[in-house]
Amino acid sequence: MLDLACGTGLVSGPASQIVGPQGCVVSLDAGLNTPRDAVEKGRVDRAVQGRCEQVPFADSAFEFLCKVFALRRVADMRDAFGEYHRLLKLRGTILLLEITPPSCKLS
Amino acid sequence: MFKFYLKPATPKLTRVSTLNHHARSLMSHFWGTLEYCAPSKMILEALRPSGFTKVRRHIQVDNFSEYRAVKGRAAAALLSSILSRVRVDNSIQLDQQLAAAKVGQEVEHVRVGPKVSLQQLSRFKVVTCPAYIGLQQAGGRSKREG
Repeated sequence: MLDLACGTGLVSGPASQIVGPQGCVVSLDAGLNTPRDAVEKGRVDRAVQGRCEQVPFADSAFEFLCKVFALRRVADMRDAFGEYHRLLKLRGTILLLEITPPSCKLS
Repeated sequence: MFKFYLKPATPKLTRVSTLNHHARSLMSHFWGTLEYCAPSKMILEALRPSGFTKVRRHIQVDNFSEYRAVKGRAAAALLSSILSRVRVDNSIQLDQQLAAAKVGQEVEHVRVGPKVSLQQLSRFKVVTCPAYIGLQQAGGRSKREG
């Protein structure tokens, strides 16, 4: 599994518990220090510094990709999704969480 | 309400809970970007042409969206990508257009009829995503040459 824009590893940590010892969670973040911080805090096993639009991994390297509350920083979604598609194995799943503009003013 | 909670309230609560003024600045920046959050329609429309299938959106509390999609078979993904960029109708001009085009030619506006095969479509350089390069080359040239 690849956790894109992992930040301090709040998603990668629980994900590691879910996939268990047989699985592998790789965390990626563009920040200079956040990948190292995430590892030092023990939330992340493997962290990589890099941009989500140009992920330094081979084609079809992951079965699952997630990106949590970082989609709004993507300059070109089609480019980014093309890159995520490249990274996923066949029938692999991508999960995106994002805040949506409220449908009414009161909310 | 949502804006009030996230923009002024959350950074202040973060400052109090972490006792770190940098945390407040960070949260202010983070929630400030919410003004520019991507509309769900844009996200969904970008996922499909990128080759994802079974694109779904699940909404929580009117403001939180979960998007889930699956990487389908390469041919299906290619077709999905093509169909998103071309006009789909029952045109009979399809075969003529495909026959006239050359392998590797960029065809963005062909009309796709109901009887088009994936082999036909994969002859053409319709998708620019690098992930499809192998499929483009494997589409028809090797069969004809072989």
